[in-house]
Amino acid sequence: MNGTAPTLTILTLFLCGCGDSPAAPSIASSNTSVPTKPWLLDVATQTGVDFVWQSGHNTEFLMPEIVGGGVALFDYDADGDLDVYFVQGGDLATSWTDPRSNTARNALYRNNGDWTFTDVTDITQAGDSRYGMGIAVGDTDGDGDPDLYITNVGRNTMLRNDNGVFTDITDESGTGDSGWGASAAFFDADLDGDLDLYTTNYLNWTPTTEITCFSSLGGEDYCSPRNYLSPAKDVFYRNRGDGTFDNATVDAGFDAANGTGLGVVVTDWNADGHPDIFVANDGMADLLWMANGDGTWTESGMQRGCALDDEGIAKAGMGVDSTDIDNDGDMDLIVCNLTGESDSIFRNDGDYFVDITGRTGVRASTRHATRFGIGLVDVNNDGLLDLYEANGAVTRESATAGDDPYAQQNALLAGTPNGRFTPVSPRGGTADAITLTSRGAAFGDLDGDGGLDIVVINRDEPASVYRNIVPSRGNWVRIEVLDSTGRPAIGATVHGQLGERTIMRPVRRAYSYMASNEPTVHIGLGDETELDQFVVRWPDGTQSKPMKLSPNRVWTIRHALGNEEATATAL
Amino acid sequence: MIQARLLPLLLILLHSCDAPTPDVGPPPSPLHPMVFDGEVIESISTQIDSILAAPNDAELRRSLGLLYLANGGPAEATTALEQAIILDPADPRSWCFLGMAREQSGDLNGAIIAMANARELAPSHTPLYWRPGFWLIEEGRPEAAMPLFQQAAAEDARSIRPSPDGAAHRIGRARCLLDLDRPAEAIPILEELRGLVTHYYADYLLGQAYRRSGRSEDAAQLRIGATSDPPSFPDPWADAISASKRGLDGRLARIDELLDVNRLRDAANAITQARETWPKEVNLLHRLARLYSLQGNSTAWVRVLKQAARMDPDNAATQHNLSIALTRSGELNEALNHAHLAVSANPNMAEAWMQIGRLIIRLRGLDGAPGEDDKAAADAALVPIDHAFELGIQTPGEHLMYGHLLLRANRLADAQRVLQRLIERGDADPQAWSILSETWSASGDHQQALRTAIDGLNRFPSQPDLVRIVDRYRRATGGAPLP
Repeated sequence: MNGTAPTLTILTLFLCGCGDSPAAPSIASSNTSVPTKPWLLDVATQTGVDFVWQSGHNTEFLMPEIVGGGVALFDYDADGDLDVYFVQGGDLATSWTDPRSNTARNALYRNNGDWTFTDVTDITQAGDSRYGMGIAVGDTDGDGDPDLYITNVGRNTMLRNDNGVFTDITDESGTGDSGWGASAAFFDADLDGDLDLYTTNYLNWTPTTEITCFSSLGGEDYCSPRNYLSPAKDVFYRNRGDGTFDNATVDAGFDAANGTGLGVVVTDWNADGHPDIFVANDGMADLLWMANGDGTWTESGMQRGCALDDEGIAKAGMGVDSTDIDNDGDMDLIVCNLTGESDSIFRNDGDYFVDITGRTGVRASTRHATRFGIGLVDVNNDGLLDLYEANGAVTRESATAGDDPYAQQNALLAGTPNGRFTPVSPRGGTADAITLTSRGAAFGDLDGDGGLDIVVINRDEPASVYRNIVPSRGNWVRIEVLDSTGRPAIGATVHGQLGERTIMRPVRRAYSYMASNEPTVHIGLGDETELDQFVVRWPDGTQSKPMKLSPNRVWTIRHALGNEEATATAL
Repeated sequence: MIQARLLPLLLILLHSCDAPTPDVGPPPSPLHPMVFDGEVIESISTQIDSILAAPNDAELRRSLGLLYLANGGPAEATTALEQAIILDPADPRSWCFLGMAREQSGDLNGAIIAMANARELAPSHTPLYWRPGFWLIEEGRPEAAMPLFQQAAAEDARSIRPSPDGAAHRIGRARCLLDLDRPAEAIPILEELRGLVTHYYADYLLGQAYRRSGRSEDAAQLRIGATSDPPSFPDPWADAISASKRGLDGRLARIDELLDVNRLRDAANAITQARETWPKEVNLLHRLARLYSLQGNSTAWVRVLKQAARMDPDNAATQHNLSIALTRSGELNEALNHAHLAVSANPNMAEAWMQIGRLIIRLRGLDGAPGEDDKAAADAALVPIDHAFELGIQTPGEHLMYGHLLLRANRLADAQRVLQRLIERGDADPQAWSILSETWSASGDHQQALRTAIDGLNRFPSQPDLVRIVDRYRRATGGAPLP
């Protein structure tokens, strides 16, 4: 609707009003959007995934109840499809004093390959019963199968995967930080070929330091993190090469700043070959740890212009993602935030970031909910990145609906050729409005059909498994980018020519919120029938030779010092 | 837009004809009553009852709109304010509030129209220009926003009481230029503003403008610190929204706003009013204590915090604030006692551990001239401060103090590590170089000490401590050229 329509409405009504007794005039102004067919269908019930993240909320408003939890998509049994791991909450008081007596526990669902899943928590021994938050996935010991690092309120847990059976090796691995962990990321910090670990901590919190807060709508509610006066320090673990770790937080310089870390993403923003780290803090300036190249990092978020938004506000950072949003060959950044605060999209201009949120059109579309899980992914395979956000309030808001005062609809925004994002209608991409208190969201192709699916964890409600049902999806390629040992080459980037556009996508697992995602690079081709000039830039600085990838195939490329060959997997 | 600009006049003319007062419908009830609670819902209900008794009273409808707007109900506020405008279209404030409610509801077009109508009725009220200007910037339309900020500047210049710094329209114009990728043109506007007002946000934007114009050195000189306080620009009309906040959280927010802008008498009244409803609320005592602090009444400041501590001795924030108040009053031993009570109540409170350390520094004389038992005193102070840093400390100034204390305690490797990290930051204090240089000197590495001092001097050419260090080395070498 254009801007003059409401004016005409009221004018007409008032002209009538001098003679007659009109009905109550309306000067409401509303935006309309053209509905399209749904993009997503929640199939959780049919698949057998019945996981409910239990906040454990009773009468007290304990802060962790409103913050968790996380979800991971990874192939634990090497059968070629993505399985799903959910991190569980439970009874916080019980878990705090005796984690083993917490009846709620994490859950692993095996993908049967036919849109059904089987709960294999028991036989895989994957169920940790601490009050859980988030998860990171990576092969820490180089044995070829993905291991799990689970962040908890209290001691974190490292689960080693041996041919599909998990063992708690937290103590042996030296990774049992006892803070309130949130998002975590495995990455090769020192380029020595093994995975190191960065884990954010939210608050220095215990049940005895909990405080009472009140809602602006009246009554008791969850607090702001600022009320606790206890921001926490993040933790960095350096892998010794055998799956055991040294706490190198101080040596690496990460003790120079603290915060209320919720989201983390690792990439090389200044293209110097060394991975940098961005931490989304809740209500504090975000942190950008730039690698010095000598095993240390320096915090420079304020100097590089991504610590605050362009209104100078330290927003409530939650989920985060980084990819090349504007196709200029470097990695940009998006952080999602609290109701009233829009997402922040930062364009990477080399030595600094520029907040381009306004010109991407996401301000009005995002600030009416509190966003957590986030992914810049191509859902409809049109070659443009779309934006999915899993939403749910942290304090009661008048705009919420239903029995759950924190529930909000998730958001799906479609990328457009002019660099703007527009809300998909129906809202959230589902035919029926789904209004829940969502947190972690993980992205991956669950059925190998070339369409990205999404798994979302919900507070005190069943998790959602969103199957991609976009009608007439575009062509696609999916690329398994592996290092020389056959593990996902986290930190590598994929480049290619898509029509007239040069695109770049990172090999990444750790993005979104408390989540671990499929590391296979997914690229929508739209109507194009090939990805031309395809190369991989490996973390060691070398590059594969240019290749041409035909569409609608899963390709695999393994690092071999310039002698790489991409092989296609038959569908 | 022409039609929109004529709308208020037309409405007034039409309103004055002898037509029966239009039936604007019932006042809006909360869309989701379950989310409102306590004093908020009571106030809304009372207001609705008043409207039902006098349905053609525009002022009552506007007040209801403000109640919703102030307490998180923009959709309901929009309805109530639209009703108020139909009853009294000549009130520019109602149009302004309607614009704000629509904007919060996500209806930017409607918000812009409402603000244009408000400007027709009150063309000299500059917030009616810069407020929608910022909305347009948020929507990625700087070219549409720029004329509004220019108009705000023109109105401000015409005003008999112009804004002392014009921060809103200056920052608005600068942001438009930055968004339009014209950072060099934003620099003089921001430099001018910096001469009028001290605010980190102006520095932050100027730093960005410098950096984007290739002037990284100038940006580094600004030493921008992190803060979470958003910039706020004065708008006397918006006070009515703030005054409509209800519920304990809303009342506290209102009091904070009044204290922030130094409206101490109004703050005192608001505290007194809130305490009638919540007489035992410690957070209100905290605000009362802050009020006394701002008034310079140390005795009352301490007294009120002691009262709060008696009411809730396990409140770490109370004990910490009391410790700070006692420190300002010179009662250091008692301050130390309450700092310990703060960490007893919350062992994770890094700030309280820092407070213990700071008090030990003062009580043991480490803040004065060097003494014989400096190392023992520094060791004692470092116990709580080490703990605070284990929990996490953000402020660069605290890191500087930590590095200095580590030097005094002869923990040279730790001092070098802390200070080295500090000077790698873009916002480091020049003293970090001098203390680091002294640390290298203490460890016998004079080459490194001199190199650090010269490095600091290159950045801060007239920093006296660094000049002194370099002079010392120059004398030691008999005036020979230094590296």
